[in-house]
Amino acid sequence: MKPIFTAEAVHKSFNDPKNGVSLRALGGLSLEIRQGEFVSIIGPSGSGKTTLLYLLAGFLRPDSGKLLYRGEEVRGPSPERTVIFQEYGLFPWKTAAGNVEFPLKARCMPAAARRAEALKYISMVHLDGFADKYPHQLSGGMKQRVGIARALACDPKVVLMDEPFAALDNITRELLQEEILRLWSGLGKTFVLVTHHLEEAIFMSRRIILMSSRPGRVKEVVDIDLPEPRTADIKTHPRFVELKSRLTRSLREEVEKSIAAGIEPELVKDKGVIRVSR
Amino acid sequence: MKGLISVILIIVSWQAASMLGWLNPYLLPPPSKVLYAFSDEAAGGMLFVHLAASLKRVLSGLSLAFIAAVPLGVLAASSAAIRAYLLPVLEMLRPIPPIAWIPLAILWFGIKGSGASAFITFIAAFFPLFLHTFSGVRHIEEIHLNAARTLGAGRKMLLLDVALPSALPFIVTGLRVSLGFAWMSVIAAELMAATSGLGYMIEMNRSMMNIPNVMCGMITIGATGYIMNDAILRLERRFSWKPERQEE
Repeated sequence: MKPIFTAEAVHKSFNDPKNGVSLRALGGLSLEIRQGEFVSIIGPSGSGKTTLLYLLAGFLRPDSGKLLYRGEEVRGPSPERTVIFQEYGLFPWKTAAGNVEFPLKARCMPAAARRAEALKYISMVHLDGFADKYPHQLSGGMKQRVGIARALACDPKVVLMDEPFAALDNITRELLQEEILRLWSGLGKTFVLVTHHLEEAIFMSRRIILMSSRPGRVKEVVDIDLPEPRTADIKTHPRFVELKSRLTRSLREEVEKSIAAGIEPELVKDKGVIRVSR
Repeated sequence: MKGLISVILIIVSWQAASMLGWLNPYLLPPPSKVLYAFSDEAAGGMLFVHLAASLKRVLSGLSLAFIAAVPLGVLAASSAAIRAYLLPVLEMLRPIPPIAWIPLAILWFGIKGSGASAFITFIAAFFPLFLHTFSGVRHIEEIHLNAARTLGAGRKMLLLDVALPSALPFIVTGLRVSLGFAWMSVIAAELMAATSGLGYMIEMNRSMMNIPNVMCGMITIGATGYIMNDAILRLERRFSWKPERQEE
């Protein structure tokens, strides 16, 4: 299948203003993301996962190398490649419906039609009745549902997700994972998920791109050949367990390299998903 | 409610101290005399004429300041080039107290009418509004900008749907600070550069040693300022999208 994104030898560095040292986030990363797939990007802290996602979104530009979206260079953000943020990024001065209407207004849908269209998306994420609440009146999970509805209202070709469940409790997290999978299989859009939660990545993805420790490169790409449709009990499937232990090993190697390089491992903080021995 | 109790307490003890002869009635007349001056000024209608004159100047100066300061604040916040040209000039003008403009204001607008005092009010109101708008727009969160851009917002939506609403609580606070400054300055300007207004009323009564009437003017200034501030605090609550902090 034709790739929707192609990255070739992408380099990206940031200047640390504190000591003037430039920090190499990505060091010659190459990858392909296929049209319509659900792919996760996983890697140790500081492997440049979020940098990669921000490059795909167009918030950042590569220092060198090529980054193509549907054959053309990524030059800036676009609602075709919209983002779901970890901290939701909702506009606190707009209601849930107002937030979902934002991308509709941006593409000049007349005000009369916007509300009905927004309610459709709000209904898709099961928030009927909360359309006129402000973000601060909603729980974390509900906020992220608004975030999802707002992203879908862009009618994007690609949905980029930056640790979208990291601020949520476990039950909410699992519910939203299933919700996103349901939306993905119904919509035929490409979903890219950045996460450091291995189980989440295996459960949701058809492919996992595992990144090396800093400077980030693709270490390996793993096909997740689990039976469909994915339901919660798949987590006890022997193939799931096998993939998990294999990926855990691979990821742990990179985390250990990160620690050796003095980069703080966020995997250790993450409720023991992976334990790293020093 | 508790505020009202302290006001009454002050008035009662002030009256008592006067009646006991502890206060020189010439330097600080008792509340009864001030009250009498009030009824006197109010009955002749002059109190309201002066109050209206001052209010009109404050409102015209404040509206002009709003029209000038908010767009300039947004521009300065969104363009580094404009910032570089504009900020040094404004930072040089800002330390000049509004009343130091009075000689020029008299020269330009004359002492009759409202021009000079309205101009002073404009000067006083401009800077707080400009600075609050400026920092309000500068404080937009990165994530909101990124979200807006990835949702397809163009320049117009970035300004009207993101920058301005994000800065609105700052702007309303700026308006409150400006109103306070403007109200103080209009009185100062009228002391010197007007033939009507509460400032003029105070100055005129001072020259005739009508101290109770001077105090009547002062109290009217205080009370009006209190009411305006209260009104704009309500406005602030109405327009703030920030969830209200729970009081303990």
